[in-house]
Parts: sequence; structure tokens; C-alpha cells
Amino acid sequence: MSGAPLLGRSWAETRKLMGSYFVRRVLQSLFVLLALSLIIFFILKAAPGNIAQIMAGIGAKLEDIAALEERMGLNSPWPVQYWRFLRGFFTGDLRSAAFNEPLLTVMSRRLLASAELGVVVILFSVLLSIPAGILSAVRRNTIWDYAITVFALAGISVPVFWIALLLMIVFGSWLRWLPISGRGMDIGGLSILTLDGWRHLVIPALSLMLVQMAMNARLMRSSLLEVLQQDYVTTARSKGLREVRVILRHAVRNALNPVLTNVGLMTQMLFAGAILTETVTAWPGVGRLVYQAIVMRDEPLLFGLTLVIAIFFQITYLAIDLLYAYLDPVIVYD
Amino acid sequence: MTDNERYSVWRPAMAGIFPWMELLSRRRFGAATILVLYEVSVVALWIHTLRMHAAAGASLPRNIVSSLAILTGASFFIRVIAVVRALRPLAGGEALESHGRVVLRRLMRDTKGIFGLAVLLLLSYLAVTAPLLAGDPMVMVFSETLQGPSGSHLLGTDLYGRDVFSRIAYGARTTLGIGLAATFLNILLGTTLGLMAGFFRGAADAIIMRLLEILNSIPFLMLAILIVAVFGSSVLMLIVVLSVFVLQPARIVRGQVLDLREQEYVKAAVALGAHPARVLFRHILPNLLSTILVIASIRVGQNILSLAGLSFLGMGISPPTPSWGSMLQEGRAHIQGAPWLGIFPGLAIFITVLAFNLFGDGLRDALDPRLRGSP
Repeated sequence: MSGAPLLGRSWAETRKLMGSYFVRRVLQSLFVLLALSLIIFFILKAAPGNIAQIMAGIGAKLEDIAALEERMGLNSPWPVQYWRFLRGFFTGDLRSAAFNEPLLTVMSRRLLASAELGVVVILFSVLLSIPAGILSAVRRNTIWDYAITVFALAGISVPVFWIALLLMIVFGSWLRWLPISGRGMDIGGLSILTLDGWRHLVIPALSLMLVQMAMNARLMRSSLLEVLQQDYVTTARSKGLREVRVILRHAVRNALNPVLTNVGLMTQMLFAGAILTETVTAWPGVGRLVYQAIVMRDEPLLFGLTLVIAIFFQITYLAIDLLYAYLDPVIVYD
Repeated sequence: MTDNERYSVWRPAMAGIFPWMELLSRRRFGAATILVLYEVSVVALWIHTLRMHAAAGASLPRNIVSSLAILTGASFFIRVIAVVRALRPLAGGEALESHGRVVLRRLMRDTKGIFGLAVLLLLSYLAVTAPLLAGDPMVMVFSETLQGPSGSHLLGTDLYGRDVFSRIAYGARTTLGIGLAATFLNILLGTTLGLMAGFFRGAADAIIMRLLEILNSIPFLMLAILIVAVFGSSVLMLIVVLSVFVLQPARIVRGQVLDLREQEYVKAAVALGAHPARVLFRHILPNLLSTILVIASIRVGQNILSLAGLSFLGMGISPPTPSWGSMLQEGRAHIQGAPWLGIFPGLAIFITVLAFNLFGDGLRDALDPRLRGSP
């Protein structure tokens, strides 16, 4: 190996090729974010009723509701309210109505909880599913392949919250090995630092992992099967390379792209909204916060959350593109 | 088989009366058995219902009549197909196998595809016959709350003493109905948008792609919950949400159209001066059909999962109406004392989605053997 990078092309080269593309993509992302913020704002405003009525409660006096509306600025024209939301988002003044705290405070702790869950799930599921996918493709039509294929098919067909519920029934209620819900003790906001935290993490993590592993294993298998039929694999074999080397160095590297994309999408889903899993296991992450914000009609919080999640999504899309260009020299974006 | 037998006029007549004879003569023993069982069940259900109601002296409720009508209608439909098949040799026989027939034959030989199809047929049967086979899903019996599975309540009872099996059977109706309707609309919309974007390029493409990017910039479930929470939940609303806000089909169709546009025969048609509409409908759309069918079969499963998720969060079918997702939501509170409430509705969702995915896999392999094994 000379000075060439291990995979694909060098970062310097990637950067040069991607420069103008990168700028255009960022502009496009900004447009998407702006449009999304408008759409969300109008959905919130188009709804019958408003947060003041909900906060005042059933049977509240009309004057009270009017006063609350006045105080919360709900009587200003829509463009003014939109501008207030948007400015608040960037200056950090946007306050959640239900929690009565700034957006950043409400989000930070939950972001940590979601990140914790996400990292554990991504790490374990990638480590387990890629070898499984490789095994399934290489030992095609053997008992291994059938077992993995059946598992993967079951994994993409199962409702993730039901798996969590089953794990709660089996490990929480029958065997009493694990706590049923919640997050447990934490040190400085991180619960993976305590044993209790780990015990709480098992059920949500396992249920998400099963589903994610299924997707990754399926993608890995089909992508590798396709690559194994390519000419260069035959060439590598006819050069007399050992099969292990042919598969690991020549085939797998080129078959990884779809799996990487899926890992990117997985990151999005896990950090931004494992809504169902977090709700059923009462894991206090962003997904559960999204659900609470919607149920409580917390407009400022929801507006802020949507934008944060959308920004995160745009960053991951961009990262996936960059990674592709880095890994696969054939890809040129224009 | 002699020519005389082959062209006998008795064959179609026989097929019209006993359609399974047609299957038996073609050595399709499995299919014949299923058909016989089905026909017997239809007759048995007719006799049973008529006797029950003759004894009670009341007129038949509408949902029971409609169930029986659908079952009987399906019987007639099968007979029509059998007669047509039996008449074919009389009309001059089949010279060439059509593409559809080849695909069908491949599908029939695919174990997982046929298994998925069988489960789906069984589920549809359950959905149609719910009023006949299961009790009323709404009746609350407060002396029999939270009972485990037993002879009188096959899958137990819930917090209000309602029979879980009945609720699952009726839940199959809402699930399959909404799942299929949403998928149909979704595919219709996705194909139209994808065709427009890929074929006309330019402004249409730009607008549709930006729309897709906006929809892809937050989790689908988040948008769905928000819209249902804000505008209220109804069956129509759920169908709209599940079909309008998932536009992956449009992206896939667009990609395919971009590929097809570059094909020689499409270019030739354009060069010969064919009208764009002709190119679109004669040269591009038929080639998209297999992709569309495969996407559809996979989307149904996804839609059912989303629907269950929404109902689980209390944003789907409103509570007294049975739905699998909301049954799980109610069962969530009783996992200690009544675990069956958390097990069976989920199992129903799992089996249904698995069946659609198996069928989709089989269909994909049958439509295009080159795609075998791709997700």
C-alpha cells in the first residue's frame, strides 16, 4: 500500500470535486428547511382551537382565555407570529409553553437519552448484521442463509413497539430480570455509566436492534450477492487469491454502500424519533418529547423540535453523499 | 386424455357446478382441497345463520347479509373463471403463453410467495366472515373482565369483558381495508408524480423533487401524528395521511422512467414522431408495471405497520372501534396481569405484514427473476 487512501479517494480530492456541489446542496437544504418551517407553522395555526384554550382548561372563563391569548401573543397577525417563532429559534428565546423552559433546556437532556440509545443500537446492530449478511450471501442456500433470511424477513414485518411490549412481558413481568420502563439512574445525564441505566436500556435497545439488524442484513446480503457476480470478483479469484481475501477486500467493500445509506437513515430515525419505542418503554428521549409536544399542542416547542430534527436530517443526507463520494471514486456529483 | 374428452361440452358445464373438478383434472390437489373446504364453509355458514335466525324469528342484520353475499359472490366468481378456463380448448386452445400466465405460474411455484398468498386469503376470509364467526366486538360483559384464553373466549377478554378474538377479527376489516385503500391511492399518486417528474423533467421535476425532500426531512410518523392530532382522526383522514405523505414510490418510479427514456425503443418511438402521451402509455408505463406491483405489495405491509403505530399512540382508529394498534395500547397497561392483551393483537399485525412481505418477495421473484434476493 503506497500513500493511497485505504478506501476510494483522498479527502483532499473529494473536497475539490465536491466543492460547488456542496454549496448547492447547502442552499437546497436551506430552502427545504424554510419551506418546512412554513408548512409546520401553517398546520399548527390551521388547527381548530389553540394552546391558550388547552392551557386554560375546560370550563375556563372567556376573559381568562382572552388574557392568556394576549399574553402568549396569539392575537398578532400570522406573519408576525411566524417571524417571532423563527427569530426565537435562532436567538434561543423560543420557550416551550407546556414545560415553561427554553427549547434548548427541554431538548438537551432528551437528546442525550436518545443519543445514548441510538449509539448502542447502531453499534450493536451494525456489528451483528453485516457479518450475518455476508454469511448469508457467501453460504447461499444453506441452512445459515435460510435462518438469516427468515429472521430478516420477520424483522422487517414486526411492529417495533410490539417487540418492546413482548420483551416487557417476558423479561419484565414473567422473569423479572429487567425493569419494565423508564431510564433508571444516570451520572451527569448519561445512564450508560450505571448498571441500573444499562438494565433499563436493554428492552428499548433490543427491540430497535432487531428491526434495524433485519434491514441491514437484508441489504448486505442482496448487495453482496450482486457484487459477487461482477467480473472483477472472478478476476480476483482467478488470480488465485484466497476466498476470504476476495470476499472481504474485493467484494464486501463494494457492497457496503447501500448498508451505509441505511445506517445514515437509521441515525435519523434513532436520534430524531424512535417515537413508538420511546413511548412504549417510557424512554425519555426526543421521540417521546415529539409525541408529548403534539399531544399537548405545545406550538413553540413543536416548531423548534421540527426545525432541529429537520436540520439534523439535512446534515445526515449531506454526510451520506460525502461518504459515498469518498468511498466510491466512480460517483461524481454534478 | 382423448380429443373427445378434451373438447367435450360437459367439461365447462361440470366446471360451472363443481369448479374443483376442473382443478382435480389438472392435478391441482392442494388448490382443489382448499376450494372444497371453502365451498363447504359457505354452505355451512348459510345453513347455520338461517337456522339461528329462523329460531329467533328476526330478520337478518345487514352486516351478516353482506358477509354472506360476499362469500357467495366469491363462489360465483370462481365458477365463472372455471367455466372460462374449461371453454378455452373449445375456442381453439392457447397458442402462446402470455407474460401474465408465465408470471402466475412462477408465483405458484414459489413456496414463500404462495404461503404469503394463502395467509392473506385466510385473513381476508376472517375479515369477511367476522360477523358470522365471531361475536359482537363491542359487547361488554362486566362479569367476565380480563379472562385468559379459554374455550368460551378463544383469546381471552379485555378490561371491559369484550372478546379479544372478535375484536381481532373485526380489526382485520379495518386493517386490511385502510391498508389496501391507502396503498392504492399512494401508488396512484406516486406513479403519477414519478411519471411527470421523470418524463417531463424541467419545472415539474424540480417541484416534485423539492416536495419529496421536504417530506423526507422529518420522520413520517411525526408528520402523521401531527396532522391527525391537529385535524382529527377518521378513516378517511388515515387513508389520506398514509397515502399522500409517503412518496417513496414517486422517487422509485422517477428513477425507472429516467432509465427507460434512454432505451433505444423509446428513443426510436420519439424519433418516429410518436405523441408524448403514446410514448408514455405504450412504451413506458407497461415497463413500469412490475416495479409498481412490487412496490405496492411492500407498501401495504408498511402502511399496516404505520396504521398500527398511529392507533397505538391513540392517533388512529378511535377506541370503541376495534383496531389492532389500539388494542395493544389498552393491553400495555395490563402486561402484568393480562399478557394476552399485549400478545395476540401484535401477533395479528406481525402475521399480516409478514404475509404481505412474503407475497411481495414472491411476486418480485416471479415478475423479474433477475431481481431475486434484492430487498
